[in-house]
Amino acid sequence: MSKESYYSLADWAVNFAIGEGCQQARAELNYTDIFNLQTLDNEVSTLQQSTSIELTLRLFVDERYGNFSTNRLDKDEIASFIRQGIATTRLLGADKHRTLPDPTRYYSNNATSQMPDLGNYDANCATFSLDEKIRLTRDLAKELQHCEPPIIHLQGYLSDRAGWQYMVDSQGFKGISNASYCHLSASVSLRGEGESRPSEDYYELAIGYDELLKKHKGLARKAYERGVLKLQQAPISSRHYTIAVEPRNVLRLLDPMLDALNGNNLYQQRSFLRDKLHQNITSPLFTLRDEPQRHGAFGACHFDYEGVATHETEIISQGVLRTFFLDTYQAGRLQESPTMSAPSVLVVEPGERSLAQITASSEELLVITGFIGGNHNETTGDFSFGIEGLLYRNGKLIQSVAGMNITGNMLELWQNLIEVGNENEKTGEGQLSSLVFKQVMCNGEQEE
Amino acid sequence: MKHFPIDHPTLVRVLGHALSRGGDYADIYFEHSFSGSVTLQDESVNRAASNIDYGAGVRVVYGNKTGYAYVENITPETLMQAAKTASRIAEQQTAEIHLNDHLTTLHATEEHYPISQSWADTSIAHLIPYLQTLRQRILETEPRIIRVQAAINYRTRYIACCNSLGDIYEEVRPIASVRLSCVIKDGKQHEQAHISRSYCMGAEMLSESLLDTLCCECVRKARFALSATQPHGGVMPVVMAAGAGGILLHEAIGHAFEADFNRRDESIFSNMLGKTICHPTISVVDDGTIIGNRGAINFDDECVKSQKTYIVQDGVLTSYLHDRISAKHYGVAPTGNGRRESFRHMPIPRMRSTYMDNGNTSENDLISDVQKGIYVQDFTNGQVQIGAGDFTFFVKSGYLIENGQLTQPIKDINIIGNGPQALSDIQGVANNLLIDDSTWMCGKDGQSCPVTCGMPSVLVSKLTVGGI
Repeated sequence: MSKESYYSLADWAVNFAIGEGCQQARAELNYTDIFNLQTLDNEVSTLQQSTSIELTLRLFVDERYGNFSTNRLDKDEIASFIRQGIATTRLLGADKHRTLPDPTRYYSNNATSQMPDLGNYDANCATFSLDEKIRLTRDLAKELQHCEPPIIHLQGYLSDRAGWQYMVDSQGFKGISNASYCHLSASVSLRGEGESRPSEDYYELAIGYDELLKKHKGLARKAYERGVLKLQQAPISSRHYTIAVEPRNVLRLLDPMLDALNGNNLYQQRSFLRDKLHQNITSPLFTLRDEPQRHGAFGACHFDYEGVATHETEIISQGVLRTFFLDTYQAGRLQESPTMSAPSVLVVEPGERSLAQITASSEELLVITGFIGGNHNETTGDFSFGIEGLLYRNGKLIQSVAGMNITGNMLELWQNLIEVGNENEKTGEGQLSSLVFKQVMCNGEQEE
Repeated sequence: MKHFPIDHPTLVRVLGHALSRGGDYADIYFEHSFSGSVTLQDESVNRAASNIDYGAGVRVVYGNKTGYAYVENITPETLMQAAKTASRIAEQQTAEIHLNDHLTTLHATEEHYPISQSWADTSIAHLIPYLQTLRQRILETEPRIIRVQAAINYRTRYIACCNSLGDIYEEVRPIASVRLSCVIKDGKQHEQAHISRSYCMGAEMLSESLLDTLCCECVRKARFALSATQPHGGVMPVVMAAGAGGILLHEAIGHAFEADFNRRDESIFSNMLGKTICHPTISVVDDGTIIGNRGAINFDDECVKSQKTYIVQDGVLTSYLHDRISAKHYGVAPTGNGRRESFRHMPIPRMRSTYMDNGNTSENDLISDVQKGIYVQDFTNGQVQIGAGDFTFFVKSGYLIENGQLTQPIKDINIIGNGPQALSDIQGVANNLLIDDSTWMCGKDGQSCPVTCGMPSVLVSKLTVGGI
């Protein structure tokens, strides 16, 4: 089936739903080509290749709402599916806030005209040959020949996804978005003390293989060097430390804050930021924006899941909370104006110094290199996470650390932010920099 | 086949094509799943969703290697194409194929998910009153509760699996859950509580006693959270409550016993098969045969019959959890642990229902043995590093133990430990085994699998407890 045939199918589904009694409807078609490859040392161990397509229908009927999805794309089956969906939705309670968005908020280009390229889709993802993908992944092992201490195994992972989404609704919105990524990682396991086999992985993400080929060298070596540091891991004394979090791990501490801005959590009164709009919630050193149309960023998009045009938005400005995440529905429930459904490309305003510079000048710094488990309380902001990392004093590595927890409250933690790094590193979530927090309670061995 | 439009001769041809480049083994896994949910939020049942997922995956195994491809439109031609793609894992241009020319239907010796009221025959109109009753009861029981959300999620999967050994089975696999959460407000303080129950059952699982349990437990947890605090942290004795305390087993040893990690020498238990790893009074089971349990299966997703597997017996590590690849590697029979999230994934070793056998003391005796420590009873999630053996789990509720008594309620702390160390630090096992029937979901290699866990209460002499 051609792409245009799929688009027509989605158009037909919306019209059919309206004909069957819906007042409004939206259809989304998601198409993805999937490739996964694993190597064990120098040999291919798993190989997977497939294509997936799914139709999602959002039906608004008699002030009631239901969403229904299927990968059975036969027209007769879809017709029956829609009829069943409408009948099911009619059994529900009314919810007057369920509606398509105000059409004036839509992204204005339609599906047939050229949308400005966001640089987040590489058509060559599909044409990079299987042999080249195997060679790229197997070559990771070459970086670790004759290393000492020796490794037990090196696992290479290569995955890529490329696809498109077509969205159409009964108010006339049509939109197409394309996205791709490729992900290469190396996981190294080493022999530690006794039966211990610590492992470490390192990865690179890219929109396409051209970009990946520019930055994949040294990936296995990096995983190995970080893994070697783990051979002497041990907990340290329980007390307050100044901690630094690498850019790749920043989201672990940022996610609880972002969850608390979600409209549903606010409405359910289980957000610890529910009364904090336009108030200081972090140190004034912190500024966070959403830049959904940032060229070349993962997740970049012209419109959100409702078809609403995306805009650059300041989420936290020098410590002050500027917006909640309210789509049409949540805004209606909260009797507020809609803002944005969710951030797409997070950008942390970078600071002046790199983590290496910060570490060199710190009297003592615990650099967190990974989180292991843990969670937070959405209602209070209390958190507790397992960590591993590296303890430095006056720029010198003292101890590789594991078996510890950091515990506290999110609001207090973020008020204790004392520096933002300058890395501005491209990650799967946006452009992130390292963060340094003072007075963080770390539990490990007995207290000093 | 009963549910899928492919006859046996075609399946055999596809399997032959899959092995045409020299694979050792091939299977085809078919799935047609119907899932739905209905949700109460605010004051009414105002949200419903459903999903249909349909497809088949072809797998080829060549030594320790796996090739895989799936299709969402099942025809002989698409299956042949998937077989060709999967066969590329093998290295020969052509190969002699030894294949049964017919398939033998396997039958389960016991039905582990008998259904008396199928979800397909159950209208949402039948489910709505349950959710409304939950809301009404919870608000009548505790007037400080300001928000209630409740949902019923259900899925019925039609599954068929055949392989190059000549086996084929077909079955209908149900699973469902009821989830309840609430927000409680007392003055300026807000707290929330969650509770869930899940079974491999039909709609007959919705009963008065289930509604009562959910309501009472949700209110108990909400009230508890108002008075609980984060404790002072550090290394201390921990009494794990029966039931959900099984998360200790799941994280501390369950994953590390999955045989794929061990055959690659990545697990901290890789050299420990046949060795004593804990006190001889301790035995641990991974069981796929508990009727109606969320971790129950009739067959795993490689046509291996479900079974109860002792992984630790009288303190000795007696078995890993095997799929077909690792079983062949170790020269043992597969243990029925080859599971997959859906037809889009290849099977890998996964847990089912993992629990510890009863000990010979009481929970009260365990608590009274502790001068200063904590008792932990509700959890949300956990994680493990297989090689280092470090595991964690997050505690939603518990108590301080002071001088052998439960005192201050505690909450929202992470506990971290090391698997082999924690096992050898188990000082006492009570006689109150409970399997927890919450919506446990295990994640591994990008796949999720429903599981359960259980335990009698145990005393671990030292774990690292997060705290302020």
